[in-house]
Amino acid sequence: MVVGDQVARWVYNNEPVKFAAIEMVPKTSSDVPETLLGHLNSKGQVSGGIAIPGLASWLSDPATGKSTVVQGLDTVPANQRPTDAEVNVVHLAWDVMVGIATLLFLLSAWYGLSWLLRRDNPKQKLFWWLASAAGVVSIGAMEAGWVVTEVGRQPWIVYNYYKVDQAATTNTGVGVTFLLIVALYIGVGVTLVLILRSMSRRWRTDPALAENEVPYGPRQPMPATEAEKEPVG
Amino acid sequence: MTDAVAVVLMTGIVAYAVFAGADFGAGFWDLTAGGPERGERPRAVVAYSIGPVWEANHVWLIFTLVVLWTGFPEAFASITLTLYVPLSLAALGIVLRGASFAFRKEVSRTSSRRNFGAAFAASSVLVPYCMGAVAGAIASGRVPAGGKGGDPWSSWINATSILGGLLAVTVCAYLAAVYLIWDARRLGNPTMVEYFRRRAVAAAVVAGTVAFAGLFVLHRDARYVFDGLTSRALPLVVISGVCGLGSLLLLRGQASRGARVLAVGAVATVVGAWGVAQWPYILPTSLKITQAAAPSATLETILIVFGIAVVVILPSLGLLYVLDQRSILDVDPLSDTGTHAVGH
Repeated sequence: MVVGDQVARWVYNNEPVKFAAIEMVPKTSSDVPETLLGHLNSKGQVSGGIAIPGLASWLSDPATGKSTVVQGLDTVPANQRPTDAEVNVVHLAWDVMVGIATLLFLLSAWYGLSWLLRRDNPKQKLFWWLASAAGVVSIGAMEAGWVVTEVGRQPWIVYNYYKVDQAATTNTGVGVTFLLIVALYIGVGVTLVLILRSMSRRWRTDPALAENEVPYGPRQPMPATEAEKEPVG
Repeated sequence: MTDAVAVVLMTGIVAYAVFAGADFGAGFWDLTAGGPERGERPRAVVAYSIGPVWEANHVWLIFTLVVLWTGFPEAFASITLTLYVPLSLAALGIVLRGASFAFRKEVSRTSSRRNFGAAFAASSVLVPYCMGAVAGAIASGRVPAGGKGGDPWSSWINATSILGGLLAVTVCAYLAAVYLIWDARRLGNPTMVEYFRRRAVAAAVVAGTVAFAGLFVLHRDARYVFDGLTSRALPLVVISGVCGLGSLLLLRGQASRGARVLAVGAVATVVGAWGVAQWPYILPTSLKITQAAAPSATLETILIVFGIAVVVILPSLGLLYVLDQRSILDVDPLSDTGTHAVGH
């Protein structure tokens, strides 16, 4: 969270337009609210969502607090910044990323409290359900972060130097290549899931595996050769 | 400095040919090993051989691509725009090959094992063919300068590209067979030692013949490179020939350890000879290395990064190969640990 806060301030200083898209700030001003959810309507105004007064300004530079000026989307011509639709995508993805990170933090805090107070793992079933979901969900947060940075940079591929449509290839065969790659990865992905399922079925009925033993799980004293092999394979 | 970066680029290509070439070649022998029963033992040697290092070798491909696009962006643009068909096929082949190799280990039904094995082996042949065809396209001047695309089909379906593809496949098979002799020996399997020794000899003869016949193709179709091979690059061509013949002689006899070193030498020098032969062009004969080079700040950075890579990455790769050769990474302790400590 500390790193995320630092990076967001870096964006505020170096890529103000992307920052405006993240915080959904149409016009430059001070005392900018932090808007959770919501969207830009057809007139380019913030609509809906929950506004926390002054928080976006305050987070941008705690030294000047609510009086910090946040540059708005209107400071650059429309063809040099993300469209309103793109801004909505960026803002939503940002909310998803930060929201997930906050929930993960709370989950860790739950565990920390339990350990502090009772010197034991949390007993509640809900905690273990959430902990199981945390792995998948954190990948979701990472992908949302990619959406923020890639959609937020539009229409630039190199900020202020080079636009995406100038950089894109005009070569033939792009569509076919794309379809082939999508087909290959769908094939590999489906095969992977099928194989994982068959492995799971096999292990469940494998008499060689003792009770409580997990394939690839922690084992009792391992032979040294096995231990060496794991990180490479 | 431009020349230094070109040498770095060539070093990456040679390393990729020598290391990944053996991997692809192992797939070739997997493909030609016959039915499930007859091919079981050779396939076991192949799987044993490439198991621990099977994807590490692609660092050289990534290295080469990065140096090419940062150091010589115009050449990179021309090459990728013209040759996107063989390059995409190679990329898809690399993905399919790695995935099938991993999947094959985890499935138990013979039919699925065979399907994944076939995908692994077929892509092991497809990828080096495409890479060789790309080299042929560049050597024969079918990639235009100016960062624009040439003909997407005739650029890599022509005499020199077919030569390059065949040469790449046979050279990979040759290298792999030579390595597999040692792996079979480490497994203590004399039948398989003989099996791969015979194939190494055959592959050496075929690769040598293709290379020799290739000179006539180059004479007609890639004159600049032909002239280079018979002048600037002649010493390398001669060394390559001597190494090849030397390793062939050793393979016919006891297949002593020198055969492997000479095989690597033969392949490394023939790839290097191609680079020297088309000097000073990166795309003969339309784009010189100096014309294609990036601004000097970029080139300096590449050289610094290369220096760091030599210090940081080479020792760890070296360790990986040595551990692999000493069988320390293997589950099966059948091997005679320590006698073959020399890396590939």
